[in-house]
Amino acid sequence: MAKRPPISNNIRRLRFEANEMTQAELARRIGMTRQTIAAIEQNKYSPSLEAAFRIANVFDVGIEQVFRWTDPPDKAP
Amino acid sequence: MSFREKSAWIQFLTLLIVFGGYYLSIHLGLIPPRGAEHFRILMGCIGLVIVLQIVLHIVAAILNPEDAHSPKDERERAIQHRANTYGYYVLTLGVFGLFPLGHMYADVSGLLQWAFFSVVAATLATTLTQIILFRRNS
Repeated sequence: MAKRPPISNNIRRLRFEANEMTQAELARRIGMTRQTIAAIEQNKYSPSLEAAFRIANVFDVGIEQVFRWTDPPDKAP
Repeated sequence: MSFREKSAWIQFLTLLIVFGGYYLSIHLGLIPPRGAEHFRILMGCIGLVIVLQIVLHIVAAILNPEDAHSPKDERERAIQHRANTYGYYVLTLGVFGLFPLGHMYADVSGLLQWAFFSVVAATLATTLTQIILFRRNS
């Protein structure tokens, strides 16, 4: 959990565009805590695939519009 | 701060204060290391920890009932799992420490004290790990 995952996200922007949805509201909709949503937005925690899809569904967008892989393709883990 | 993090702080601080005081008192000779009086004090400390944790958890739940009653999410479960692993390592070290102690010292009460200390240390390790992981990821 110490190393930041190579995944960026647009959750904060999507929340703002969704009538300024709060972190608490998003957390309630997907069954997580507000602190977990905050950790995801700050790239301190990588959500599971299910959670990622749930977040995308809340905003009615594809998962690739929410999350983006940021590591260069030739970089080994 | 989520309810689960508050819970970790409550458990960590009550154990550290009560049993820190208990072991310090033994070390300073304020309470006997064995015997009926020592056993009464030990039981009193365990009871105090239980009461304090119940009361403080109730207060934390009253302050945020929705958070307190919600199930653990995946991040909280991952933190709990990792913290339990570290606590298990500490407990295992403590139990294995009984073997050389048992051969070196024939004092059964001393061995029991070490075993109990291992449980306290393991719980402290578990809750401290939770606190660090919650703080690091917030």
